[in-house]
Amino acid sequence: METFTGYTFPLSEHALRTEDIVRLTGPGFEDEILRINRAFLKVSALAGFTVIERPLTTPEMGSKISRIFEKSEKTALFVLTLGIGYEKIADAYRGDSLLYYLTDVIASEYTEVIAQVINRKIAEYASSLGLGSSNRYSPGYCGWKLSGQRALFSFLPPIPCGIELTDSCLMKPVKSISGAVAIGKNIRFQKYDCSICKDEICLYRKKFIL
Amino acid sequence: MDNYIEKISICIQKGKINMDSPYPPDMKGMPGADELTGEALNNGVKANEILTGAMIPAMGIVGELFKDKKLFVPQVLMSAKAMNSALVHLKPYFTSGEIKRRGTFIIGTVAGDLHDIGKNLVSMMIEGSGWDVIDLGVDVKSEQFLEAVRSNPNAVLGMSALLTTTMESMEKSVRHIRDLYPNLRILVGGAPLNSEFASRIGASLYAPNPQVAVEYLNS
Repeated sequence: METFTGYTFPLSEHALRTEDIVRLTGPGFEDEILRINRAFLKVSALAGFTVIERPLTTPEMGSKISRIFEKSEKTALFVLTLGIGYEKIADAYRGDSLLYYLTDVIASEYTEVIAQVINRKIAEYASSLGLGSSNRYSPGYCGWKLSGQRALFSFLPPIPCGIELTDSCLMKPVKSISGAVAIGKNIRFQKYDCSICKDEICLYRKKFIL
Repeated sequence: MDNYIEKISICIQKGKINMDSPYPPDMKGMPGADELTGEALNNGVKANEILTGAMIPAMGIVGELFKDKKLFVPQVLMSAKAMNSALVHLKPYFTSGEIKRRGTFIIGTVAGDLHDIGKNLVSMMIEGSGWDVIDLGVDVKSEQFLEAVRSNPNAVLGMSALLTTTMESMEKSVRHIRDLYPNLRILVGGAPLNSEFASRIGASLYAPNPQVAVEYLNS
């Protein structure tokens, strides 16, 4: 499989609960969260992945991630984005520091939710071939240099899901995630994987969303 | 008079903006920093007393609590909003020169980087500690920072970078500006940075949170 398989995920099918968001923002702003979350439920995320028939090994990946990927037979490379749907909501609230911040937090949570969904899709694909699949890894985390985005995007169609890379490897629209999943006979999903990384300030260290 | 100072301070600490604001729930229907500041001025409380006796100390308390992870970001934002509502009443006194800002702080997110949440938070906390803030926004090129420094000779400069790739553009900007302004105070912040990086590129300070920046500016 080398074609890019695209998906549309309406956020209404993956709705966050107010109490899940309150855990991140603190109490007292439930009405605002409810209002903003309602706006997100009209947004659809775009996602997709390509599978290459070999391990992904690039110099930017670093030794920790490379050790996982070099055992694989295939690699799934994925992207996802909340697209302009997020940007429209953010623009509406940009003038209000509180609403803008809450919008940012909610959008980040939805991108993580959709990342888990695409991780599961890749796992299902691997499973259909009788293979195991790893956690998802992204440039910018676990020692994979952010400049590794360029190599990752080289395996994807031009502007996948409408996502463009800036010169600094920032994805536009923002609230997008790119990454790779190792696939192979000896590849297994690790429940908690922060043990491979010593980055104390990484946001995943607190949340263990993998 | 002390009563007004204390009440305004509490409103700012708790993020009570005005009478209409439902936040915080335990102060619903009560006057906020907005009404109380107006009333205080009408009743003869000096603008400087409100600024230095209520607003700046209140935001200092908020900054300390946030540094100690005892407040969430939205609570800090509400405090900043309450402070801004009080600042509106003090504007004529700044214009007339009766009260003065502690100085000017220029802030921006470096070229190639579009992250603004942290930068905005720092900007609000520094404004709340009595500084005039010039926010250059995001994706700010060295030349834009330089232009702002040229136009505000005694200002302090702050730069934010949230990506490892844009740390490189931060380095270029700091080195470039440092060559031209060896004595300029430059603060840097952002999740992937640390003190060693700040020191290596020639910045004066790495601020891991807004309060460290405030303490440095007021030192």
